[in-house]
Amino acid sequence: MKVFSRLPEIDKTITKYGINRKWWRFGVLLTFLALAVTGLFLSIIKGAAEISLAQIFLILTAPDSEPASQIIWNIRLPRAIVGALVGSNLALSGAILQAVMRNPLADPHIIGISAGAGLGGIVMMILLPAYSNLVTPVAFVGAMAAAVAIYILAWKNGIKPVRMILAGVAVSTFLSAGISGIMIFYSDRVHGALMWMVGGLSARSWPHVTIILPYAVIGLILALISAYYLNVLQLGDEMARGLGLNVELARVLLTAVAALLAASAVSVVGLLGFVGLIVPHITRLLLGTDYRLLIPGAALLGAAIVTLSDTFARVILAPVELPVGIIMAIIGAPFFLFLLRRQL
Amino acid sequence: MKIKAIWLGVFLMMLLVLDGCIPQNKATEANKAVSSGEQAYAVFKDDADRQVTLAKKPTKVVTLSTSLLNFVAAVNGNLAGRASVKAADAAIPDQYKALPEVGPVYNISSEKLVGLQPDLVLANKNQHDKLLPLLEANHIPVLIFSIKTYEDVKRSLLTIGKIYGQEDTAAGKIKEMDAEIAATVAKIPKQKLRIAIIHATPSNVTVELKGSIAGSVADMLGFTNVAAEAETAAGNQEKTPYSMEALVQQDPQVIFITSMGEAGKIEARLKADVRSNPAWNSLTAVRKDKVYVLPENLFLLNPGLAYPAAVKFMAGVVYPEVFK
Repeated sequence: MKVFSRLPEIDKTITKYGINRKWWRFGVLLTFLALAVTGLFLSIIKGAAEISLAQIFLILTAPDSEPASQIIWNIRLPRAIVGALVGSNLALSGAILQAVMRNPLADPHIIGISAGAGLGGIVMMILLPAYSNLVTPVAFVGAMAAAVAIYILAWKNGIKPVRMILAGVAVSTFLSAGISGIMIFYSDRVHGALMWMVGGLSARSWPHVTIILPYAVIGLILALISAYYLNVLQLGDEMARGLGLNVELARVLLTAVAALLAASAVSVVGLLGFVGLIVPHITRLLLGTDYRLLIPGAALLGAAIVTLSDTFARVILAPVELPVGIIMAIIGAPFFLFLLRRQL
Repeated sequence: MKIKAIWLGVFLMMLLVLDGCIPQNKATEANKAVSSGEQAYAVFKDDADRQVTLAKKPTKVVTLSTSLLNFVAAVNGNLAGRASVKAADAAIPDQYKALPEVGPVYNISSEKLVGLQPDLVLANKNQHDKLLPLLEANHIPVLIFSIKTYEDVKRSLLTIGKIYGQEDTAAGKIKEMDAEIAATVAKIPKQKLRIAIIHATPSNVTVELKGSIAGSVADMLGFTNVAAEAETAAGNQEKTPYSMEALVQQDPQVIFITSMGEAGKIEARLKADVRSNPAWNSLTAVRKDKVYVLPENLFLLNPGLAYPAAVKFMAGVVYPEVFK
């Protein structure tokens, strides 16, 4: 804890906007929270079907079997929850990995989550469509297997972040070859797989909520507990050892938390990119590098971005729906570049 | 000094790339010579908007897909080669079984194809476009076909009839198919059934529109596609991702799912999938068990000449009592 005894001093410094840094951070966190709540709220009140606010309130208090009630309870509400949880999981996973690898480009792709889940999901969807109900568990197993394989391959008297990243690139490339192969040999069946590769929340409902919820809750708690270790790891291995941290063990455990968070998310919605990489960076630019703030911040912002983007994706061309991944990239990438140029 | 050399090198490389981009279409030039010089055998405008001139009646035709092979069979045409097929997928007419093969439809071996020295290649749009430059460079004429709707089938059959000088056979076959479809349509009740067609998997909502096979079959049967409003001005769209809640609001009476893979096993799975998902279960058609699975050989891969069978299949699942 010695490292952070200096933090209060930093808090007294004044930002370039003349706001006390403590208040600035508090304000940013509060804004993230407001955005997440707004995202959830909009997801429930906006959609292709016109349902008035008063009607929605009635439906939420007293559900019936009318179409409007079905739309709110079985379509919009579970979809909003899945979106928020997925966003938060991916953002947390990315935030953790960036600290563990000490690399700003680290995200769930790096530990093979996307390629592993992608191959698992596509094998089930295209080669074994009779077992399509197993897409989610198989994708999850694929994601975890890829992560474990990369860990084992990168192990040589401990883990060096660079070796792990390179092993990740190699394993992902290997698995992607399998994905491409299947998509070429079964080109007539590619469409379903394509939607999975882009990632989206279409047709997500309560069963998906129950799959992802436990991982999201446990993952968030573990991430909050890990904040201290993540801070220490960022200082470099030497310093971290000096502070009494078992660096290897911490890295294994933290990577496992990140893998579980990301695997549960991608197995439910497909390979949603972007959130895991960009959200932690936006959070860091606005909140600073202290993981005790960054973890809750990234979770809230991840939930906000996915729910807001998905609402936009559902409404803009209604009744045609765009995959949320496309909207996130279109809005998010320029915004991120803007922040980067401003160097907050 | 070194930097200057690098600049020069980069510049030269860019020139090389640009040079590669300029089409060097000797084949078209050769065709032009033919069309201006002597009377050509036939001139076609294919589905890739290319003008193809055949100097004389082709004698060594190669088809790159099974559906095109069936078209050739319908006009009793000769072939010099064909795409390979898995035995389970499609029956090859006897007269074509022993033909040299040029590899599977999605992965044609360009070496084998060129090695056969065909004087006409019949190819599918999107699947075989990449072979075009190579074939044109070898002065091998190619006709590209894009066959989705029934209209496409009829047009393509006429084209292939013309290649073999068998226009009458083609026209006769078309009459036969028209009659068969008309008979099916006449049998079903004259109600505007409201339907939706889901593409491939209920794990995301993609609806098929009029430009798709199932969409055009439904159109022929006089069904109303509830997703028709999603059609763009361009018109011939095949499918689009669609809002689940819009589906619930439109409340189609019947839902079709075009399946991938063997229909028998998949059907039970797809039905279980939609029933176990509360979002899908919000649809009346799902709750009333009006979900029908359309087999891939008729509705996902192109049925070609089996279009009447596809029309009959769709009518049959909705009105089993009419088609016993």
